[in-house]
Amino acid sequence: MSTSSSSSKKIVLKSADNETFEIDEIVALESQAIKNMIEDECADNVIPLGNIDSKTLSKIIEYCKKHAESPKKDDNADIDEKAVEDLKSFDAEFAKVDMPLIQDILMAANFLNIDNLIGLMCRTIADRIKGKTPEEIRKILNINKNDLLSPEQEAKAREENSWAFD
Amino acid sequence: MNNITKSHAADDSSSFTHLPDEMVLEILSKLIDFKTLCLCKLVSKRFCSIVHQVNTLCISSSIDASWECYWSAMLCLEKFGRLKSLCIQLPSFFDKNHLLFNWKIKCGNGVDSFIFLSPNSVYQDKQLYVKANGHQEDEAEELDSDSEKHDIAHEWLEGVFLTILLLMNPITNLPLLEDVAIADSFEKGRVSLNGEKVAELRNLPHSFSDVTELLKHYLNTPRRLSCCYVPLLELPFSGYVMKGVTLYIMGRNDLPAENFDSFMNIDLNDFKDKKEAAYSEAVMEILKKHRGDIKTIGTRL
Repeated sequence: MSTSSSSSKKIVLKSADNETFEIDEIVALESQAIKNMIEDECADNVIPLGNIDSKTLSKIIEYCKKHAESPKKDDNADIDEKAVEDLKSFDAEFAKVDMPLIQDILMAANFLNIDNLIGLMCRTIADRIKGKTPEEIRKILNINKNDLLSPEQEAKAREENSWAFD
Repeated sequence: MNNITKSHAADDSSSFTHLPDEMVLEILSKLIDFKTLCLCKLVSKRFCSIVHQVNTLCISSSIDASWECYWSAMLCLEKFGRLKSLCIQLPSFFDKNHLLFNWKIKCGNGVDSFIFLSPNSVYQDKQLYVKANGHQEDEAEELDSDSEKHDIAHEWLEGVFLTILLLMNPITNLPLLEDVAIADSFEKGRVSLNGEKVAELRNLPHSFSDVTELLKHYLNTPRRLSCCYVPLLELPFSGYVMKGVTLYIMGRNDLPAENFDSFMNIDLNDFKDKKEAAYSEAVMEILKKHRGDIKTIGTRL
């Protein structure tokens, strides 16, 4: 996966479907979980990620690469506005994927503890359900039928929130 | 792709089911809009139980909503027991050119008074003022827009007063609430209540058993609107210069007149926002130097 020719330290991630991804350590450090593993020196050469498939993992690596390359906000120097804009449009493009993948990325980002990515995915999901009816939201998120309110509960909730229906 | 740990592949339970609750809360927290959040309660049992945990929300009220509608919305609001920060957006009746600013609310045995400042123009320092206006002293600002300005101020203050009354009930059930902002949709007028004020409101003896009682209280509270016009205000502390400044005070009729002491003695160094500090300074300047010019322009009861 990685094509970087620099001599920086490499980390290898292994997905649930046994695909390996070699990435620069600096990219891997975007994940607080991996960072902790490396700092505690309990990371081997290969870090197995048994609950993340290769499709999701490659998306996450794409995200971490971009964010690792971009100047950080907490650098007190004036941040290049263009870089900020660039990152914003990258994020917007990045989020243009279907809902199951968004949810997988969110799960994985939560596991890997990548704060920005969690925020981006949650915002994306929130944006997609904004202004939608409860029925539409169920469909968008593919809510499990077992989780629906009982007819009585639903009637009560509708009554209480009747002011919110136009 | 046939790994067993893969979450949603061919199985018919949605991947959403596998998201931990804290992620669902994170998503719901991004919605902010109160109406959307309330509709989310109907989506699923899980949504219904998690949605009340959000700590920030914004209510946009619409012009044609009925009293009953507001009342039921407030009943829903009090279920958000972990709410910390609340914003209420009132419909805007402001002319876009008017700069308006709410400053302070005083509570005694109820909400006693509001103070509200409306300058025609604001300059961050004397230089900017001179640049925009030249050196010649301006003639007294034309007074033709006054009655319009009064109307806007009056309507806005009434709106804020009502909003606060509506909050009296839910606020007692929102122990963590520490920050309430009431703003119009153009963000021209804004009342911010910090922790102390929110606590004061929470401890007021008022709560209403139904919407009729609330309306009765609203209609029966005697109040008057006073104002004071200052053509030019130079503020030594912040350096700001304001032109055509009107200070509005809406207060209860039955209270001793012109008791503004609690509006004074504000430490301007406490403000993080420079503009807000300047507005506060302006209010204090006017109360200090122009108090005699305050005149009543309208009363109710």
